[in-house]
Amino acid sequence: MTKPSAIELEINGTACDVRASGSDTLLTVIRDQLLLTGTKRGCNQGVCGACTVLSDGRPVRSCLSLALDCKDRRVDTIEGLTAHPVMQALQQAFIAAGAFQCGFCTPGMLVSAFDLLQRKPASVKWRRPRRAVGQFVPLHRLQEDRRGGAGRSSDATGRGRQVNKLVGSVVGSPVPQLEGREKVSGSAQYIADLYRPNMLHGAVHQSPHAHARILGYDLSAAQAIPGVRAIVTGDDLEDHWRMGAFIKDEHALAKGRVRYVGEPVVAVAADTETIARQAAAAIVVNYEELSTALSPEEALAPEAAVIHEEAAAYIKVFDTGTQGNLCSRTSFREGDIEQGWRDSDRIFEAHYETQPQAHVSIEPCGALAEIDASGRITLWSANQSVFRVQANVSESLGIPMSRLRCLTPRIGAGFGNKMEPHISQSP
Amino acid sequence: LVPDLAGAGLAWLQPEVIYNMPPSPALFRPRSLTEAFDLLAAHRDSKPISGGASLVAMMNAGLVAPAALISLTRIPELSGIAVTGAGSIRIGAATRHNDIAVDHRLIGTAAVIAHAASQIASVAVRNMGTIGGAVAHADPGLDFPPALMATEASVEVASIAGRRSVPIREFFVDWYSTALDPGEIVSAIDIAKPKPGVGLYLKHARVSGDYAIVSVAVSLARDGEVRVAVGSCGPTPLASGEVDRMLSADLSAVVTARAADLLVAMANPIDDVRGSAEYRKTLIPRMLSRALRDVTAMSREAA
Repeated sequence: MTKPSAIELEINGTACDVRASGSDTLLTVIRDQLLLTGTKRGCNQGVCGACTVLSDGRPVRSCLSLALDCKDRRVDTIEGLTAHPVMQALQQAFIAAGAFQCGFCTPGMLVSAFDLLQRKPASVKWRRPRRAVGQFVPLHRLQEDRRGGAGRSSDATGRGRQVNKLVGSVVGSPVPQLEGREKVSGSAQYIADLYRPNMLHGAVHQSPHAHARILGYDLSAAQAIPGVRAIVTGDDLEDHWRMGAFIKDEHALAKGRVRYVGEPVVAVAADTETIARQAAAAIVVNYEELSTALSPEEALAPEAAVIHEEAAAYIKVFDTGTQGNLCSRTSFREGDIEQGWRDSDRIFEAHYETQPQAHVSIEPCGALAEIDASGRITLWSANQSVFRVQANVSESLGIPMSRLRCLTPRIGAGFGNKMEPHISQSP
Repeated sequence: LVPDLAGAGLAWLQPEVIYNMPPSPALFRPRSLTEAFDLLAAHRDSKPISGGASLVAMMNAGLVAPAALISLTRIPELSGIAVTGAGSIRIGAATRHNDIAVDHRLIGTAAVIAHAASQIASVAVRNMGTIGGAVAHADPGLDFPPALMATEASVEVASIAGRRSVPIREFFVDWYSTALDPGEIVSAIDIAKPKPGVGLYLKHARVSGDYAIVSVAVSLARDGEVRVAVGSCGPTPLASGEVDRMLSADLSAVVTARAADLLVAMANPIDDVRGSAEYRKTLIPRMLSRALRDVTAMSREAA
């Protein structure tokens, strides 16, 4: 193994000492070593743009730039560019226009827009943004307004008028997002931007099979890697520790059987992300492949292998008609349907299908947990439903809810995918 | 390898399994081609790298793990565009897509190359990726290979043994496979002196910057000579001397349809998330006639 080399990179006008091996990207170095977390890791494939930085004044993808190859180049990130007047004008325009939602890729957009303005200043017509209500109004002035303000009547009727005026000026007017400034400056913190002292990093060995029985684990190679602190398998979980939004059908780690490609099977905690990933890759799981049903029709066929044989015994939030591989049955009627058929000139009957869609937010899932000396856990995670996370983690790990405090930092979108507690991993 | 600790009277020691860590590659930054060739020869399973737009993405995805990386970014002779005395254009292998997209010397029939360069991925990726990397990678979805095949171009290949020139239409051999031998790198792309005329790269993609579902590269010289290549429809771009001869003689709808039939017969596309093989074959005649209609209009405008 080649040892990382110590190099000096010029980041935001400052010479920074970093260490990098040949395959370490600029993104990894500026985020993990310099803690400049405004540059985001999204796809890690150069497509999403959340990691865009300037290299010698030109925008590049920092996830595709090798750190060692950035020696002798000047690198500017959102943190450094925020001092530039053109960037500040852009940031104010972004805030005024509400030009972000989750804000995860906003730093990347701003760096790209900054480059466009540098190269083609004439291509953009500057327009004074419509002043959003409350924008850049100092807090003490807002409070003054609420109190009735200096020189205004402070009796009951006057105060009422003032409140109406304030409401009247907000309704129908654009209001800047509260978190605008942190999102345009790159200081908004998403799950991967959070650090705790001496924290370990996790990685998950995922199922390569759609349906298989777990015959055993060989963890010896992974355990032998220096820096590996803990390895957890489904054997460490109680059988009744099941979670699920509507049907409690899943263990935190597969127990005895895997039911989809990518199902978490073994979890590793280690000193660094690299070691954790190497350990996860070194885990050997012996599987016995079982027959699969890869379409709804195949799964409903009488001879299909039943994926959840114990489904009848699972706890269900409400009964959806679960039977065999059928998870849920929905039928509804509205109005007099028979009359509707009779009144129809023509009747078309067909079988309609729609394609599945993956809700692919640019920010992957992730979680960070801290356990205090009394065994109380604080759990930060990228999620859309913090109390459901608390319930499901409690159920699946056998932790009383009273010992589990769940928090949500900024999240880089979810589209429904972050409703349940899960972590995801790319290679 | 587990040592026999008990036999050595050391049973109280934990036996230690030495895990073979995946190698973390070294990166070398040679300043000359000779130095680069020495490094490539000295390191087994090493890969040359320039922009990294494809190779680092593949490394990030865990698809490749080279033992060493030889960066070609600091070799001056590999970068830049130059016009030779004879009027041919030499594009250094490490020239970045954006520099090619805006180069004012790629005009006439060579404009198809700049037009293709301007449609690759995004600005940030065009600031990284290089033309040499693109042709050496030989992904059938890339934009440069068909664009170069629509001109009279050749690939200059260099190794410790010297240099040789491979005509562009013989360079791409199969999926991700080229005429490069082990130890060879792409050092330059040579374009024959562009003829007066026009060039167009028509790309059909799901979103701007994505890989093409189908792309058609065309150059039309003022003397009537047509060169056509189709991308993303098989292991290598589709082009044939017969198609070019037919279209150079006659750009009528009937001949265009016959040329399209020949190209469809050569096509061997795959089904993927961007489109089915059948859809791609359906697009070839439509995009070919649209591209030819557009270059004819551009040619009239220029004249």
